[in-house]
Amino acid sequence: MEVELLTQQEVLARQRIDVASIFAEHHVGLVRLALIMVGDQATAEDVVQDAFARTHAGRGRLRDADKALTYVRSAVLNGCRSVLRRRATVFRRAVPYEPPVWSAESAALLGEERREVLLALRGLPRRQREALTLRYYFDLADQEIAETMRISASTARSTIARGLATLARVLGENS
Amino acid sequence: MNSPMEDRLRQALAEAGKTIDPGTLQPLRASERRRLRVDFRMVAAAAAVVVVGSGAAVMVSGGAGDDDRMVAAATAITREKADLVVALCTATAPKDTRCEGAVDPEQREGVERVLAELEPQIAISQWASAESTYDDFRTRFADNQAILEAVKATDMPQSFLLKLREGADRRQVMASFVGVPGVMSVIDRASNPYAAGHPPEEEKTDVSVFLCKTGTQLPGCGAKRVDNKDGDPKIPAHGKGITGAQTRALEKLIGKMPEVEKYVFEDQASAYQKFVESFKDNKALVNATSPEDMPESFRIMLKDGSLWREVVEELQRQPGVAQVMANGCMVNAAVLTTEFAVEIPKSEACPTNR
Repeated sequence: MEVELLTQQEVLARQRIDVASIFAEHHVGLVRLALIMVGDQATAEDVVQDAFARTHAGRGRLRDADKALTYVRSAVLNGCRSVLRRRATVFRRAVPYEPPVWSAESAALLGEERREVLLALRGLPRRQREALTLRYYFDLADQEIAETMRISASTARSTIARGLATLARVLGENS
Repeated sequence: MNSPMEDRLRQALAEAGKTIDPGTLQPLRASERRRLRVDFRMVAAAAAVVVVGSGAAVMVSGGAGDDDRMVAAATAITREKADLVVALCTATAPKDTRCEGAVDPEQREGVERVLAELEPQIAISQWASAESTYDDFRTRFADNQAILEAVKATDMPQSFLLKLREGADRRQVMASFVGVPGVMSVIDRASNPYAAGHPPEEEKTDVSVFLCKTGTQLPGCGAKRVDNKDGDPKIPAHGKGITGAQTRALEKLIGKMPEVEKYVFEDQASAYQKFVESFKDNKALVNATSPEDMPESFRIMLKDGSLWREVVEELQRQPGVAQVMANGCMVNAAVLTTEFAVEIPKSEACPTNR
């Protein structure tokens, strides 16, 4: 039988979470999440790259391996919020920016029906939009959504329900 | 309990997501941890720009194929001509590398296999033994006793010198060596500002005296700094900025020193200008830095043949002085790292009597 003797530092090093490999593994998924939030691939990639750089720099602070992916998703969501906030300020007095995924150009790519749903999703308040994306794109459970968005599980549940109801109403009226 | 609304939403999101083709994504980049324990903005501001570990660590390769292979004549290359240097582990490798003792023959074969796979991108790959590297090093630093003493023959890594083909994907080549057992570091010689000939000759100064800024984290200004194991230091107390009277006294002292040929005062604006120029390829760093982040400094040219050591020691003692750098030895330390993959602490590269 082999007995492993580890110094305290080695134990710490083993617990240290490899943020890089989490990003490598979930890169595409994270970019897609960002895409749905910000609407174009280039910005989405930038958001993920920024989030990666930031979490990588703070990787020493991340201790709980189970929470790492949640943490990373939160970082990406935060990045998306910043982008949207910045856009809102910059374009306040100008023509609003229409990223490809939301715009008419994507009609060919996506089909009118999908575009309508995405447009309606975009019209929702930020929190509802995020919760719906996490639920219906990533199929996360209430608890996971709650942790990613730093809200409570019951809030996540009610937010999703409210978001769905609004979507149904908006889309129902249109059709 | 899937309502039709939920299905519609699910499908719309899935299709929106699919518009991203995983093959088109740019690989993620993380900057490698800085090796020398120096405030990097100050070093950047110093006339001799020293960025160590500037070859960014790269992960997730982007699968770039080099279709039109060209046959290049395999000629020998020197250390100066190499694009990349792949240094292998030594027994004395620093702790933050992945080395576990010196490279063994099996690991070396593994590295050679990676090289063979990268063959379409590499024009020349040449083996450099530890002995020949040490000889190169002795020649290069022949007149620098401090560095010759600080580095032993056993510190010298064996390495592969690589010359890339035209159009090769540098980052992908570098990424291929990340995590390969026995590899201590991969050095990108071209992306190192020092190799690119910064700064212009006429702007070189011998000694830079950086002044304390309000809120600084440097211990020279009275700030307390506690390094914990995560490499994420805590700052229980910030330093005080230099006062007007202290600046004037310092300027007077510099003016009186017999070794000083001439000196200039560099304010935040011009320090920032130099900084932007030095890091024009690194947008993120430039964007994250504003002129207010730059320290003010005195740039000193010494008379020929005078020793920098006493000047540095004297100035370091003055109140309101954050850091004093003898640029020559900082550059030496950086060359040692970027060319020979050997790291030595600043105190050994620039020894003072303190």
